[in-house]
Amino acid sequence: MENKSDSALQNGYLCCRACHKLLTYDTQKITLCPRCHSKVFPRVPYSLAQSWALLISGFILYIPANILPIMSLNKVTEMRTDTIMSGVINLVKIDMAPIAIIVFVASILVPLLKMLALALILFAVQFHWHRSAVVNTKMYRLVEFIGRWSMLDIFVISILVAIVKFNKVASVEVEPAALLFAIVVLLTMFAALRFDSRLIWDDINEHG
Amino acid sequence: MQSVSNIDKHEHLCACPECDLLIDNTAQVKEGYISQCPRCHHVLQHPTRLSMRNNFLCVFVGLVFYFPAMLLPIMRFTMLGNTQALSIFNCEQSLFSTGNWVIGLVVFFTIILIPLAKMILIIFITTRIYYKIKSHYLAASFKWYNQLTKWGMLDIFMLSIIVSAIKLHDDAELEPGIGLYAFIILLLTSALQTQLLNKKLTWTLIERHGE
Repeated sequence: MENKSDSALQNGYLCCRACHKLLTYDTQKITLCPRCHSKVFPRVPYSLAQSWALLISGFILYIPANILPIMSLNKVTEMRTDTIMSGVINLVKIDMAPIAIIVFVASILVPLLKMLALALILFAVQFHWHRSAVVNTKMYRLVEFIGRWSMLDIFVISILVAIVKFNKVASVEVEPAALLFAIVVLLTMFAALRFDSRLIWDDINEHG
Repeated sequence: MQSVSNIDKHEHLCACPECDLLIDNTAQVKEGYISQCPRCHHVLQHPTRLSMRNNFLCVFVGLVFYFPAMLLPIMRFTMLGNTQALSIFNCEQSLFSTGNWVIGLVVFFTIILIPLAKMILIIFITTRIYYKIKSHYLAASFKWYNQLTKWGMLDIFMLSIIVSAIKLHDDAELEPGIGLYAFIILLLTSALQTQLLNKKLTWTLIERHGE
């Protein structure tokens, strides 16, 4: 095992982000990876700024996505307009607690915790709180892994729309929050993608 | 190209892509074992047996079941006496015809296009490498494949089929269709293929056969 503060960059190497090939760092020009032909930067340029921008816009859209109705269902007997939260409550009412929990976790808990976790990681990098690097890396991996599961609600709505459309007795309308929510999920996924996880370790690399 | 020849002396070195730690990588990792970054525990290597051939097989089976999964009904439901069958393609159609084209596009990309594109790329890469055909597009294809894996959402769609079936089961009688079984096979093969893919080996082989 190498010394703890030995980052590849400090030793004059670059690691290609696309194919992980190790290259020597030439400060004079932009390095092109000989294996996958992508541009190699020491760290992803403007990674922090882009992550912040995507995350903040995701967070702003998250508020109307939760307040506005996500879909409305017209049956002969009843007419109902649901927000994300009232959909979950409805599932509990018809004794579908396990499914309610899945939907609650996927569409309320995960997006919120994910944005908080990502914000925390970005703060830690920005203000050099380098003690939490191990935790932050674990959190970042979790955010990357779990983020896509928030799409669950969008897919459920699209299946419901299709089912009910072929059936003349009822109709399902997709309301604006569905669109907003889909955009929130995409924005936060991009925010996690643009973030360069090596930044978490850079303070430790420098100070040992 | 001086820098490239310079690197070959340090072939035993590698950098952890997640924390940039410089690691001495001389030890061979056995098949079925993993090597991790000592600092952040990122999985560096995960060699699998016959990675290329098994990937090809998985994707081949997946491709066979792809079109049935998309076009045949995944659910048959009876609501107030009339029975309808619904496929993923119908789902997509109705999203566009009701004017929800942004959500329609999201579903189109994550469920229909990206899984297909991933399989075609893997077929292209594995056959080229297996028959040692040189191609300029190998590196670009694998780069695209790596970008796309994050955006394929077959597994989430499977869960949403279950959730919507449970949501509807009071109002309608539901029956699984043939498309659902094809979809499950497609999902399993794609999950298995992702597990069996040895990225490091693939990049090494691409470096050898590219150009």
